[in-house]
Amino acid sequence: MSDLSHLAEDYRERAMWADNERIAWIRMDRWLGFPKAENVRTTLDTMLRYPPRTRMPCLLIYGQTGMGKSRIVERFEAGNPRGFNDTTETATIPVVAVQLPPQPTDGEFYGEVLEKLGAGFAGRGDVQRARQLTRRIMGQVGARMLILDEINHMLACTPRQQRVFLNTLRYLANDLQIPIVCTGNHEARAALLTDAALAERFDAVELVRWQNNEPFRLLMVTFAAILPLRKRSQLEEERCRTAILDLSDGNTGRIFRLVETLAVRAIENGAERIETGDLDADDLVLPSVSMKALAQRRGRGREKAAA
Amino acid sequence: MTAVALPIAPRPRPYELLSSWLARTAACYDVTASELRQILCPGIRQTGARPDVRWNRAEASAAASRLRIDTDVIMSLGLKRRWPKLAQNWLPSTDGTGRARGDIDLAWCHLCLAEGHADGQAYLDAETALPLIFCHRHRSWRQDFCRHCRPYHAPRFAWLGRIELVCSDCGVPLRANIWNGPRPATDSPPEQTSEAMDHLIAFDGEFRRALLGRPACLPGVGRVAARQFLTVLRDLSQALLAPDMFRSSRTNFFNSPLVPNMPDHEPRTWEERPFQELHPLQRAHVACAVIALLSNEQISRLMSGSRPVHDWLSLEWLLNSTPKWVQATLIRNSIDWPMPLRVRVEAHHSRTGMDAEDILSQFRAWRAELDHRESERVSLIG
Repeated sequence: MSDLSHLAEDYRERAMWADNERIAWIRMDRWLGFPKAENVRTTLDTMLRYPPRTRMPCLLIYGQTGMGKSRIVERFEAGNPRGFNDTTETATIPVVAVQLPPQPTDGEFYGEVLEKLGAGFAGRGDVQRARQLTRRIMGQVGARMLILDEINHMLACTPRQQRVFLNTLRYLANDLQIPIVCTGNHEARAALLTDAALAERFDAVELVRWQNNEPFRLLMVTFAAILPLRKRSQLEEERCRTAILDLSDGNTGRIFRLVETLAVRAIENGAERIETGDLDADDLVLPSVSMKALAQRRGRGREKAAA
Repeated sequence: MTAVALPIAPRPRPYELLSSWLARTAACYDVTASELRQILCPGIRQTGARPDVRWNRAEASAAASRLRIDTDVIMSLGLKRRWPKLAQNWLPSTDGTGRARGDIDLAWCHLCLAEGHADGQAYLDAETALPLIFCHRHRSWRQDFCRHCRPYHAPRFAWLGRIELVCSDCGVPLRANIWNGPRPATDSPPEQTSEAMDHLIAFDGEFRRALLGRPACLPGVGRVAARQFLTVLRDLSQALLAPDMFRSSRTNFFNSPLVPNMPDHEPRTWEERPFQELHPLQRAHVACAVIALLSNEQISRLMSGSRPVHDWLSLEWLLNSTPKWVQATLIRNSIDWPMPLRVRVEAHHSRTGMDAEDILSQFRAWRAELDHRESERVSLIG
C-alpha cells in the first residue's frame, strides 16, 4: 500500500477507491471554509440573531463572478434549516434566500419569494395580493433574514423599475424588521448606492481576489490534504501557486475548478500527483473559456519575455 | 421533481368537515378550496363531487405529503368514514342543482364557530354537512346566510389576523353574526313555545340519528328503522310541499308558534323540493308540520298552531285534502312505512277505493304533455 501520509487522516481511505469513484468524488460540490468566507458567515450569523428594531442592519456581499458569494449563501441557508412547528401549524424558515429573477419587477420578485416559501401558486398576477401574502407568510414562518442573490439582475430593468425595486427592498426591510442581505457584483453595489436610505443601511463586504499569500497557501495545503491522489502533490510550492493564480486570476471558482481538473487528470494519466509542470502541459484542457483566454495571454507574455 | 411542502398547513380538528379543512388551508393562501385541490394534486382528475363524500385516496395522499400530515388523518375526515351508515342521498347537493351557493352547503352554528375561534381558528364541524335545523351541542338554530346582508355568495374562509368564516358579500365574521332563531308567535304562551321547541329539537335529533343510520323515534309511532324514518319524512314533506294547480300547498295550513307567519309556499313548477334542499327555517316549518301530522291531537295542535275550532291537521286530514296524485303517491310509497302508519294509509285507500297506479300513470302522462307543450312554447326563443 502506498504512503498516504500526505493526506489528512479522514481522507486516506478515499485514495484507495477505484478511479471512477475518486473522479466522481472530486467533481462533487464542496465547501472549504477559507477565512474570508468564514468571516462573512460569522457576520451573517450575528445579523440573524439581531433583535428586531426599526432599522435593521443590512449587508451587501459583492465581488467578481465566481468568488463564492452564492456558495456562502447556500451554505448559510443550509446551516439554518427549515422545520415545522406543530403548535403554530406553520413551517419555520429562518433564512429565506432568493435568487432574483432575470428582470426583477416587484411582481416577479414577490412571486420568487413566495415560490421559495413554498407558496409560489398564491398571489399570481396580482402584485398587491402577492405583496400582502409575502409579508404575512414571511411573518408566519418566522423568517429572520432575507437574502437576495444576484442583486445585479435589477440592472436589467428600466431606471423606473429599478427605483420601484429599491423601494420594495426598503419597504420589506422596514415592514418585516429583518436584516436583508444582497449579493452581487460591483455594478450592484453602485446601483444600491443610488438609494440614499439603502446606502445608509447597507454595510458592504467585498470578496476580493486571492493573492499569493498565507491564506492562499493554506487553501492549497487543504486541497493537497483532501484530494484523493496517491502521491504527494506540489500544490503548496511557490511556482505551482503562482501558476494557479496566473491562470485563475485569483478567482475562487476558477481555482477550485482548475485544481479539480488537475486532480482528475492526475488520476486519468496515472501520475497520481499534481506537479507544477502540469499547468503548462499541452494536454491540459482548461475548464473555462475565461481561463483559456488568460492562459493565451500568459503564453504571449512569456513569448514576449523570451524574445 | 418532488412537490414542495406548503409553509402553512392547518391541522384538521378531530370533528372537522373535510371541506372546511380544505377551505381553511386555501384561505391561508388566498385561493379557493377548488384551486387548492388543483394545486395540491395537479395530475389527478377531480370527480367534482364534494370531497366530504368522495375523497380520492390518491388525491388525499398527494395533499397529505404537501401538507405534512398523515393520509389516514385526512381520509378519516370523510363523512362516510366517520359515519359508515350515513344516508348520503340526504346530503344537500353542491353540484349546482340544489340551493347551495358554493362547494359546501352550510348550516352553521355561530356558537360552534365562536368556540373554534377561541380555540385558534373558526372551522365547520362535520355535522354542518347534515341537513339539520339545530346544533344539538348548543341547542341553537343553525343559520345559512348572513343576517347583516342578503348575500349572493356562499360564505368563505378568509384570513383576518387568523382564519375566520366570513360572509363573502359584507365580510362580517359569521361567529359574530348572532341569530337566536325566529321570533316565536306573540300570541303563544311561553310554556307552549318552549314545549313546541322541545318537540322540534327532539324530532331534529331523531332525524340526525336516522341520517347516521341508527334507529330513530318517529312521533306518534315510536322507534323505527332509520330507512323507515327517512322514507316517512321524505314522503310527508313532499306531500306538504306538493304543488297544487288551484290551491297553495298543504304546508301553508300550518302555523307553528316556533316559525310563525312563514310566507306562503307557492311553487311555480312541478319540480320536487326535497327536505334537505330547504333552508333551515323552511325545514323547521315542514318538520313542525310532519310532527303535527303524526302526533296525537294535543301535540298536533301545538305544532300546527291550529285552534280547537279548526280541523285537526292529522295524517288523515292530509290524505283527504291533498290532490289525488299526492294521495296516490302516499298510498304507493307507504309500503315502506312503519306498520301503524301503513294501516292508517290503507284505511284511507280502502275507503276511497282509489287505483293509485292508474292515477299516477294519468298524472305522469299529463305532466309529459305539459312538458312537451312547454318545450314547444319556448323552442323558438333564442
